[in-house]
Amino acid sequence: MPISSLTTDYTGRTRDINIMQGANPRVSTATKVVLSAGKVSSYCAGVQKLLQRYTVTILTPLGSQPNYPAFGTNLIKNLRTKGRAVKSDLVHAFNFANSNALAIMQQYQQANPDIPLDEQIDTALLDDLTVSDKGDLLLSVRVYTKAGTVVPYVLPVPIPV
Amino acid sequence: METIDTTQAQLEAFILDYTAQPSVNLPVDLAPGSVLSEWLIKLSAAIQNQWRNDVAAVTGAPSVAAAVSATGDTYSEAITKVASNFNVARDDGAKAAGKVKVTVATSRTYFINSDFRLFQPSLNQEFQTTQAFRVDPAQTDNIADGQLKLYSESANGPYYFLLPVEAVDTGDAPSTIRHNQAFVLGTNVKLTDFVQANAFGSFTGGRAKETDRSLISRFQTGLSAKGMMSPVSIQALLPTFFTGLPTVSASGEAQAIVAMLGANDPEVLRGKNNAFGITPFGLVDLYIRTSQTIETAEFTVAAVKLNNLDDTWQIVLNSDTSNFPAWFYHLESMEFNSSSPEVVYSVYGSPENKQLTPLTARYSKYQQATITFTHSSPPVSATAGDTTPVKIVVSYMPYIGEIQDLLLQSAHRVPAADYLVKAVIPCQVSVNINLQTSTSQTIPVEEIKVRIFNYINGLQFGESLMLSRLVDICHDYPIRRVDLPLVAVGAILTPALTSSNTAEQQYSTISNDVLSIPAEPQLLAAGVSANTTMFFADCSSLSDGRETISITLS
Repeated sequence: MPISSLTTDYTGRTRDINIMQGANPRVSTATKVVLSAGKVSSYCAGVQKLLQRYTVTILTPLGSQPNYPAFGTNLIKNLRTKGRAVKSDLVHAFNFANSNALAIMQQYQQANPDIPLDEQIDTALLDDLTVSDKGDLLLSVRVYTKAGTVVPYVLPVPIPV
Repeated sequence: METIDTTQAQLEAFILDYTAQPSVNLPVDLAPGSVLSEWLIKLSAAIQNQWRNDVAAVTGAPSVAAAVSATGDTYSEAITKVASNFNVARDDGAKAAGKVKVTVATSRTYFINSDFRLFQPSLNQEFQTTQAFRVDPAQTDNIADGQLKLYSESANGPYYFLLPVEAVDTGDAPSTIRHNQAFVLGTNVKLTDFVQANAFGSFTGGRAKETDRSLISRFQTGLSAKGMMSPVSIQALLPTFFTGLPTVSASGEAQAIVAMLGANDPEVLRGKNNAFGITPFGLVDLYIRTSQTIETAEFTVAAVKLNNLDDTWQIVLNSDTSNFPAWFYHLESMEFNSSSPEVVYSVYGSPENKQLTPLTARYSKYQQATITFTHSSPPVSATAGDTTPVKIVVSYMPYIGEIQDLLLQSAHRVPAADYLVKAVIPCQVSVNINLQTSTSQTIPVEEIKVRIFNYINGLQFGESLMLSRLVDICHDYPIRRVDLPLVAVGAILTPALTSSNTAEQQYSTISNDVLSIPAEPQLLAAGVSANTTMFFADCSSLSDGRETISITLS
């Protein structure tokens, strides 16, 4: 992901635990990210925290959390059941899930307007989807923040295609 | 029970307070999708919520003494098991239910889904359908198959269908929903061509789940009052046999109100046909009130053509009429009659209770009513003896026949007594109240009506209606004054032998200070006195738009 600058100044920011292990903002090419707490835990804020929240929201299967049946999307479920799907089917599956995820995040933003603008999502669009050499599905997503930042990143989908 | 949202909010507040301490100074993000929210807060909240509710259920009522002295309502499983030792089961409550006449503008097919909601504004209750329906002009009503007929009030409409609904929640209703009471569509509910919705007949009353305290009082009373020898024991025992008994008492507990009259009471008219004209000992009349309001419902009965010369038909209503309250008060309306029907009352089948006359049988299960009318739309080619269904609407007090049958059972019958169970004689009260208010204050008129309704309907046998109490109720609200004098009119539905004898059937008493049941010879001759008659008031409007409790603001 292209990052214009780095900082460790968290003044005025709330922090979340960083689970995107392997993300390296110093390189401009795509790097593999593993979703885990890592051997040494770290914080994140700003755009990285936003992408992390978006990733968790869109990849959480709808109804998988006890007592919270409305959180998550059907992206994983629809991708797993598509079978011999064509590209357009996968695009539809992403678009429906993306709409749900954006609704969840924007509802929270409306209730908490003092969140920094670069941590507020405006929209997210699917650029492309490809299959890796190992057979995994890679969704190239472009995230737009309310601060006007456009962040392209590859959404890791943990199922083989 | 604590909700998951409450537990989560408490947990988030704890985390935020802790991390905001100067020694920690770690502002955390708990937004949806954040790791802390999804991996820590939600999982912890789910576990803690379950623990808290389990602890609350266990500690709520560990003993009978704790349940009785608890400040709030408790529903302990332990108390339910204790009550079962005394053959008493907890009442799990009931939802008010009935039919709503939904009027629409167009004759076509309508689809009603299974969660279609209507809202009754004055009672603040929401009602819903429990299954999906297809409404079609061409089909007949078949609720089991989800089919409803679209009726037409005239050739060019409007059109309507009768939709069965039940309350969303169990719980006591402040008053039973009466015929013609208006509903509005629920939130986010749409029905194309919707015109209006009104209650069709009275609704059955809702009932809250029985609390531990109420359950304990039932089996405590049951231990001490086993026989049917006094009004107190009968009142205590009836709810154990009839769990569907509506709330009548001021405390909100389900019970009937019973007046027991014997040989020494002038209201007992049975058994005087002897040389001395004195009722012998052993004959007991029980006047029972089982509902806060007078029930009104529609029934379909069979009419028989009397002869081949004209369109005179006859309906006979007695205890053999299927699913019909033979002890009904009054025929409110009927279809197909082209003139006022004539109703004659007589006695039907009294092997257990002897010495009944048509007058003494009124409002009991031994009452027989013969309705003679001219059919306005008789079946084609009908001959004498043919039958046809006719819909009638009657007013009645529920459970009277069932209670009579209970008292005749060998297990409960008092050997030396002859009990005759009768519905309480109603005195229907109407009052007009004009309140002077200031323009800046909003007066909750419906809330005042409900309080007046509860006061009037809560009066016991022998109690008088104090109009000053109505003024007290009004002054609990920000009004300037109540216009005096207040005039209350009581219409006593006195038992009569025919419906055409209206002069006796409705006796009016008027007062502007204390409304009492008069002690007059002509009323006593019909069994009417303060010992047999109770006051009834109604929150809703009558079918012709008049209100019995009318409150206007100036």
